Amino acid sequence: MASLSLDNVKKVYPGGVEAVKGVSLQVPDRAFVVLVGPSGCGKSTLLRMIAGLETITSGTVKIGDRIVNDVEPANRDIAMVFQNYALYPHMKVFDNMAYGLRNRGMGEPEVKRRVDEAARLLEIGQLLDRKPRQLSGGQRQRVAMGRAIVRQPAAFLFDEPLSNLDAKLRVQMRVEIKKLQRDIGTTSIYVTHDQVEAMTMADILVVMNAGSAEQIDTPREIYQRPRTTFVASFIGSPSMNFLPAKLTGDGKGVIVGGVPIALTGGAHAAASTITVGVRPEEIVVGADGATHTVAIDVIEHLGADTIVHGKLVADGAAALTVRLVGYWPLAPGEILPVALHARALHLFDPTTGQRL
Amino acid sequence: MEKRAIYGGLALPLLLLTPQLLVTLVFFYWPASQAVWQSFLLQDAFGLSTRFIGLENYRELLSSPGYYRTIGTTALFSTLVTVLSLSIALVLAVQADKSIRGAGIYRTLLIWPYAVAPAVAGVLWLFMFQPSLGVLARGLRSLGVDWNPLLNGDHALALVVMAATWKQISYNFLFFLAGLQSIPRAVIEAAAIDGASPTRRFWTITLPLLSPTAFFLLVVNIVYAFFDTFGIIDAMTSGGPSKATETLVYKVFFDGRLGGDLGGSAAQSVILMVIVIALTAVQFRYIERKVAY
Repeated sequence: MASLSLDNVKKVYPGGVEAVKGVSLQVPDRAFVVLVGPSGCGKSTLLRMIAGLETITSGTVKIGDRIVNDVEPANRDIAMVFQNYALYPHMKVFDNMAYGLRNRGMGEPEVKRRVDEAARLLEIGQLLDRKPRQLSGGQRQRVAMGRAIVRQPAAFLFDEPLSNLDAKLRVQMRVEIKKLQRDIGTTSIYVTHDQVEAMTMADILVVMNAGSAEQIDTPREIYQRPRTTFVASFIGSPSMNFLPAKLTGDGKGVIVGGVPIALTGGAHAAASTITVGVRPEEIVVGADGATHTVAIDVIEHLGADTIVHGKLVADGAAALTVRLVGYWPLAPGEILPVALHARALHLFDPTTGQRL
Repeated sequence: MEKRAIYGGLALPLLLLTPQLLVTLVFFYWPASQAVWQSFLLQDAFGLSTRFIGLENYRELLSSPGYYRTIGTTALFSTLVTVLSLSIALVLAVQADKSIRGAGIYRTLLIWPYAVAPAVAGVLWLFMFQPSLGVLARGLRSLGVDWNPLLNGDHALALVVMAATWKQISYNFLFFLAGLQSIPRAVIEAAAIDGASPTRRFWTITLPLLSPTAFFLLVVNIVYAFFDTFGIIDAMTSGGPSKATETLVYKVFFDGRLGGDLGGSAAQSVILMVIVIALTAVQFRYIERKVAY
């Protein structure tokens, strides 16, 4: 068990491609950190640098109090769970789990005790004599977890471990991994591109984009106060709506689609053009207190929710998505009265994308 | 899943199979049956008189010390060629599998020898080790080795083993490299994180995962050493000196073609044929089942 810290870690590939552009991150002991971002954002590269599978171009990686930049993966006291599990196909489940312990010269009785304990924890005791190819995807996933657990390392590294499972199993394993991590208390870093995994599993969520960490915060903070338009659009489903807007003369209100809305916070720089973000689920529908109207284009009935895609009836006709709870009998072409409330609005600088 | 085409009668499938069956019959079964028949005959060198003598050719063959010597030579030769070409190719493939600068050129160069005809390869090596002219032979002599493959049987055997091995390395290299590249990188990385040193990774992960390839190559190499090295031996030593490099397949040629003993030679061919069939059976039994893990 250990804390983990990254200080301005960079990865530049030969040829000059900057995969990771200086990421700093403090991971307290026992924390579950999720790195999330679109493919190619550098999240896997960052994880592999922590594991020691990629060299670090500059910056330092510390596990516990030790700088591990030049330490071999074997000596970093970490265990990794790979996307395709990377089980040793020619070894039985028991030997797969025992391999790392035996390599470290552990006595056979202790190896057996540890493997049996991990197998009990993961409920794979009856599979120990099987080869990986005789297992289902979910079982392989458990074995890969088991192989990490038996080592009792300082940290677990997960590289998109659930992306090869079907949707139902993924939900189940997500809950199990989170519960397991809480029980064992091992510091974990988890890479995913799935925002649901990110939101539900993380103690600390790192949203990455193009090699940089755009925001490092609790999932709640990231959802409620996204620091950039990228974070705002990446987290949340359907994505946040972005509307062009103008601040009022005194900077205490914002004009969206020709309608002024009084802001609750302090004044902003006056009369500038800004981007207003509003989450589809925070748009209130109803004639009472409506500020705008939406012309409906497409309706998606998800059962529990109804998603309405339409356009703001105003100058510019910006696209707007609204998420309504329950089943709404609407039809394309209808006009929907909606209210944009000041507390639901996120204000961003349209050029830098930074939160105002 | 097995794919089965359903035909109405027997005529169409037979017609479609005819060309293949004809080729097999004319070029394999007919000569093979001729060889079997011939092995029961005694024929004079000019083919003027022929007599049926039953198993006499076999009896004579199996009671001749020279035949056992040839079997011994073949076994030694084949073992050396197989072990050397497999292990050298494996070492080279492991090196080529690393991400090194110029890996492409390195790989291409290693594949080239396979394109050289056996007899040409033989002559090439013969020149290099020719006692009075050869570049390498001179080097050996200057090191104090009394190198003379023309007179010393062990030297001659070493020479044909070298040439035959060199010729086969490229082939083995290709398969080993393909085998190595099909091992998922994550598995090797997982082993590295699991604390296995590079050497231990090779013995406990890479080699077991390579075993289907290795087994396939083992059979192919034995067959190669047994049968396909005729050109090299013929070009380099012609089985000499004093039959030190005479393998079974070379003896068939020597006794039958040069010695005029068609019956005895045919009997040898039949024995060789049995060996091939046995090897092929082993190959099918294990490789078709895709061994290892």
